[in-house]
Amino acid sequence: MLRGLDWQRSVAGHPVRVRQAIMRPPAGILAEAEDAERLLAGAVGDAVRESSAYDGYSKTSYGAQGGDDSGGFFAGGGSQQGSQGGGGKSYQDESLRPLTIKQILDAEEPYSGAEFKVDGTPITQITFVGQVRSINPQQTNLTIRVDDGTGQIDVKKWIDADKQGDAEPGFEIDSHIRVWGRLKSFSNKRHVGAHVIRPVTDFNEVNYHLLEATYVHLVNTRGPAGAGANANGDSMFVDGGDGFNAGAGGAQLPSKLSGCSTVAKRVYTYLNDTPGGNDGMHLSNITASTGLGMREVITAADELLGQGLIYTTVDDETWAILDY
Amino acid sequence: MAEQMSTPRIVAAYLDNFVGRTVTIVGKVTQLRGDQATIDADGVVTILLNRDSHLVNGNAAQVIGKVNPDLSIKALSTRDVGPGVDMVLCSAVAELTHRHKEIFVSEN
Repeated sequence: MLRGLDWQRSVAGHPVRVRQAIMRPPAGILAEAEDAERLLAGAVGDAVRESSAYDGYSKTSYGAQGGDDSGGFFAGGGSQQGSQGGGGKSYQDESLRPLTIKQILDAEEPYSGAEFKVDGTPITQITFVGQVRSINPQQTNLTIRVDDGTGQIDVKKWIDADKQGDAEPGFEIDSHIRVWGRLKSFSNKRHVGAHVIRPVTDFNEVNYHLLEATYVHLVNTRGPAGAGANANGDSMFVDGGDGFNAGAGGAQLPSKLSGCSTVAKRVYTYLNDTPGGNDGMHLSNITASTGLGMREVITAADELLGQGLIYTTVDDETWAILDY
Repeated sequence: MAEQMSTPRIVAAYLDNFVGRTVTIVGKVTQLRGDQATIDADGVVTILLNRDSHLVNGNAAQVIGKVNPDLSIKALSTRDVGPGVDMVLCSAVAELTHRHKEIFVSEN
């Protein structure tokens, strides 16, 4: 307390000049502070000016003047993003298509590096069965030429150096193998990057694979089997007889005749269009009216009998439509 | 391309249509006589074997070869594919490959 009062008194007792000097900071210090403030303001101003011109900075001058490092970074970032984005997108569409090698060779590639399409559907992972035509061991991979009777393609299997015996193919020339992998294109030459290759021990798998590849091809080109069966269901199982009668013109043939020869169709049409009562028509009537030879008519009648479409009535050479 | 890319799968009934072409045929070996064999592939087919042929009587065999004018097949590659092969399936698949040429047979 006392010391405070003394200090106040002593300040009050000094002349004004000294008092000012004591109360205000010395001019030198002030000048430094002002300089600092000005610097600070300048820096902030620059920063503001920079941020307002940021677009131009990053896009034009950065790329042009930023040097190799920054350009490299941008390019790298872009491609990384691209591949990640692409991978993430197609990850949901991952599938495993059974294919024949002809389908692999015929797969559409809209432009170089685009995803391959078979039957209009993108392919990701594929599997196929074929015979080994040649094995070509290289430093980092095995190149195997595979032939399934529909075509030939190279399969590359990368060798894991850490794995004992990974360089051993595990199968011999001419043996059948099943391959799982991805179709790759390298300088306009296609090959399959294999994930797994295993020998086929049961030859039935070869046939199984061809059936499966056909099945998937047909589902993709003609729609699911269920839908097809429904569309044809009537003709296949209800015999389409009703449909025929409904088409009173007589020009429309029942679909149950679709598997028959043209001669058989003519005979059937004649029998159907001619009112012959329950006794049917005799061979001589048919030949006379259709202009067909006897042998032709008998062959056709045998065919129709075999299909259960007509039946013999009073003798072996008289037939009537089997309607039920 | 000079080399024929595809070797269509056939059964005996198709031989007529493939004279001079290279085909794949699977059948059961019924006879082995020196450099000739007969296989049953929905019908009897005579195979003129090459030196590397090691077929087993009674087993199924897959033969890739050229069809001669007399409808025998000159083997280029033969392979014994064991006893447990479903021959009905084989001929059904051969039939199928001709019905769906678009994914099996290259025209060249």
